[in-house]
Amino acid sequence: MGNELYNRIAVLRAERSLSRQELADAVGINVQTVGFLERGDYSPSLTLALDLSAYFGLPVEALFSRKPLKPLSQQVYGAVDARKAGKR
Amino acid sequence: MIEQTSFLGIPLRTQRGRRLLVVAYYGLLLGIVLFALWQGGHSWGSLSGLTFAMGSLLGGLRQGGPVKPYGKVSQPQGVQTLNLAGRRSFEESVPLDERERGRRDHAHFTAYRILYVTLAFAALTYIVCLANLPQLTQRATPPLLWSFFVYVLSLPQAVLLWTELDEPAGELRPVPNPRR
Repeated sequence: MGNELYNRIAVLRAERSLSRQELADAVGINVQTVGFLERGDYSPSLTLALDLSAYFGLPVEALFSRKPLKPLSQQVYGAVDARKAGKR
Repeated sequence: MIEQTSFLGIPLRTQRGRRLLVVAYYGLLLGIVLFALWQGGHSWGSLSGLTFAMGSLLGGLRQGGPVKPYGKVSQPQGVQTLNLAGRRSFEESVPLDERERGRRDHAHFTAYRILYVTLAFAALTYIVCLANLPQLTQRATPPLLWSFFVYVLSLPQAVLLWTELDEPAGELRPVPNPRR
């Protein structure tokens, strides 16, 4: 397994109408680091990962994963087979 | 990590620009050394004045260069400083965060690895070439040692400028929040 760490920071931030600067200020990092986190170019320390999950009020595994994350809509409503949905 | 949007007229927003600055900087250093060698008779006094100015030109050691200072930044209030370097990315200098500290530490480690190869090469050159020519050694030692000091001072910053990735562009458009 490689060192990839996937995250949902960009989606959660957009959902909560936060700018990168606001999120950076909230968790005490620089604004560029938020961009690098979102792009997956930087894997945060455990402390920062916990700070981010506490800030969003979500468990850490909802934000970060070692496997590619499913879209939130799919995770919430389950995988819908498009062909089955079309027959209904 | 990179504080300036441009430095001495070189734009620093892209990795290409930052690498151009590193090449220009070492080109300038090489030019000074060659000039000092050509002129000859340079004493330590004339070169030592330039050591800190050249060594800290890329930043890192103090505020003012393109690389953020490594230590805590304290700027006295009410003191107007002359900024010759260019517009800053941010109004206030903020301390390094965990990603930047990691990048800095890695840059120092890379610089150390480059330095011991350089030192080995310099020692070999001295033993093979210069040791047999005492007159040339006497003339070449001050500029060469000076350039090595400057090289040691500036290398971690140069590594950082060379390796720092471009900032991610384009924000996701925030969803309008009716509660705000």
